[in-house]
Amino acid sequence: MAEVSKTVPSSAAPNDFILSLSDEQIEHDQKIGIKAIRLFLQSKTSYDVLPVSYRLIVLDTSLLVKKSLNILLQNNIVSAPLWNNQNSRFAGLLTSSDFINVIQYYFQFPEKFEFVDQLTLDGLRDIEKAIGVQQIETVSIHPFKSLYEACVKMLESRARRIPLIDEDEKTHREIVVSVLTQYRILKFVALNCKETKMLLKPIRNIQGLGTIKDISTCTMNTPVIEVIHLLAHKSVSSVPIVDEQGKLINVYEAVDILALVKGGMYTDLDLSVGDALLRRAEDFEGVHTCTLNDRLSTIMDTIRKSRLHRLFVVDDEGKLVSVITLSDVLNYILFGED
Amino acid sequence: MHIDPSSTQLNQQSQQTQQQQTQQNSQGQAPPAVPDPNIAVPVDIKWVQGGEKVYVTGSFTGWRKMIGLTKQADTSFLITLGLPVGTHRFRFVIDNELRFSDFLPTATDQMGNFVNYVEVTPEHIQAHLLQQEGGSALPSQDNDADTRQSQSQAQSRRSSVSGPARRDSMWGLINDDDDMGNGYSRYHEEDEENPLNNKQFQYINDIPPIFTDPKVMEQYYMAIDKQSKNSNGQQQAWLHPPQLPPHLENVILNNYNSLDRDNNGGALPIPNHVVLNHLTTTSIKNHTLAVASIVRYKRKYVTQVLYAPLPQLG
Repeated sequence: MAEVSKTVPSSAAPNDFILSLSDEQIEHDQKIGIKAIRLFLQSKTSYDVLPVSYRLIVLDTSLLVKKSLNILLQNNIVSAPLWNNQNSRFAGLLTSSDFINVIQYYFQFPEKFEFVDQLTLDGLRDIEKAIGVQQIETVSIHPFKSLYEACVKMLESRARRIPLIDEDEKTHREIVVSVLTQYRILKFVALNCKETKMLLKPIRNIQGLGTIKDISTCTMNTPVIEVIHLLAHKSVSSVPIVDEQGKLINVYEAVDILALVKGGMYTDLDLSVGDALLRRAEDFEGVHTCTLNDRLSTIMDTIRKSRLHRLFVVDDEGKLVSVITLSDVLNYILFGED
Repeated sequence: MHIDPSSTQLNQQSQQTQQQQTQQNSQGQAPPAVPDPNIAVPVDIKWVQGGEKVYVTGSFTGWRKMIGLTKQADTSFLITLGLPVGTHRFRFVIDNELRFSDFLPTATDQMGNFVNYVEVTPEHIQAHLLQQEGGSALPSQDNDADTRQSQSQAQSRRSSVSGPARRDSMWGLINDDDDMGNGYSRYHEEDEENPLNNKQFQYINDIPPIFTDPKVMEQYYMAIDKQSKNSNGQQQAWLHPPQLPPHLENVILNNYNSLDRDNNGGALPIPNHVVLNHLTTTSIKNHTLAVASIVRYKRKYVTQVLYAPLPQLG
């Protein structure tokens, strides 16, 4: 199985400058850096992050679910805002969680599968009710509110992306301006805040980032349907794949499900997660790891240079210890060091 | 959506000369449909956030050369650049540190870098050209001395600072040539006098025979035809009116590379204003209709693509 793995430069040779700093100095710089980044987020709006000219793909809710999946894959995106043409309103976001729900639904109610070809995007709400998933109202925010507020809303609702909604000047109808993800906001900070270089505190000393989490794992042989159950029940966006010794070898992400059910195969998911990984696209972002000795400065640098949505914390032998998600990083930036 | 008038000073000028513009147009001097890329409009770039040495670098210098700003009496820094039509992105270098102004429009570029930008529109170009002509009535009737005088009167309405002071910039920057790379040049007021002064326009009341007499028209076409046969028929295209206005043919969505994973924001090239608010479609596949339209949102452009099922019949 081809494995793509990258490592954040870890405890190998920290440079002399950092070694020369005392713990108080590091602590002090960390506080100043975090406060400066927080101020940056409070002073910039979501509108500022948007490129001058950009694309927004919107799906009509009367589309069939299987067609909407093809549209997502064709355009190489993992989510899209939905538009209800009956009442001309924004109708939530289509994300990989919706496809997980569909899989869970047909798992619980196999007899319904014969109607799968008629399932439309508006039918997704009924599916959520049927499998007992808590229906969360999609949070949204006005593009001219601060990035800080957008992050707070995302953290409160445990969402990883937030639609920017405004009102059309003439018709007073809702318009979706764009959808902002946690990754884009953090990348924006990494690119434009030089204060990220001041964050030299090792994460083992940072509350919230260094705390060891209880993570569900799986092996290459685990049937993918079980991995999907884990994703759904634990409300996580990925399940790490480990070997017999607990070493991290790969990861199965919620977005991998889009490629999995491409043919409309919502049932018959007994194949192993290893086989399911063969369907993964070649531009996969890779598995990013770090150790407890790494600092946010290097993590933010990695965010700036490559795409990542989580960092797995491993020990010197490569064994999985914990995970740091983008939500954890944002949570720390917004509320940490107080 | 309208351009925020407080952001560039050019907008005030265009509002002033709006009336003049319609009058001028009816006299037979048609404004260019696609703006001449060589016409530059003076744009003020100001830095008000302190510092000692202030430079600006941007898309108009190829992001290499840095242009110095002159310190003003009110401790702000200013430079006036001659910029052609388009959106120009730039950042400031304050005491060797790369920064962006909080007082100018901002955006992220394709890479995610936060930059300031300023937009020069065809309307700005027209307003600027009119300002230059505005001092003189019919150029063919004035003698040179008069035109020069009225030109300088028009100049005093403009927004740039006094020219000569910049030549002896205290940082000795103007020792490099005015060419700032990428076809942009430093703006000098004296350049204003050249563009339209030399063209002599002769106005007549009779419609030229080429538009009225079919025989003359035919001769003209035949001459063109002969010429095109010599140059392999490339001229022939103009004889038939195009199906679509040519500037609608460049659909920016087609330039989007879905596989470019660095482009998280779905960034697209900046559209020409003439393609806004049109509906573009793709061929219908699998009973799914995809339509797109580029609209303005505040100072940015959103290309909305809507996928919808074909309405069911019966």
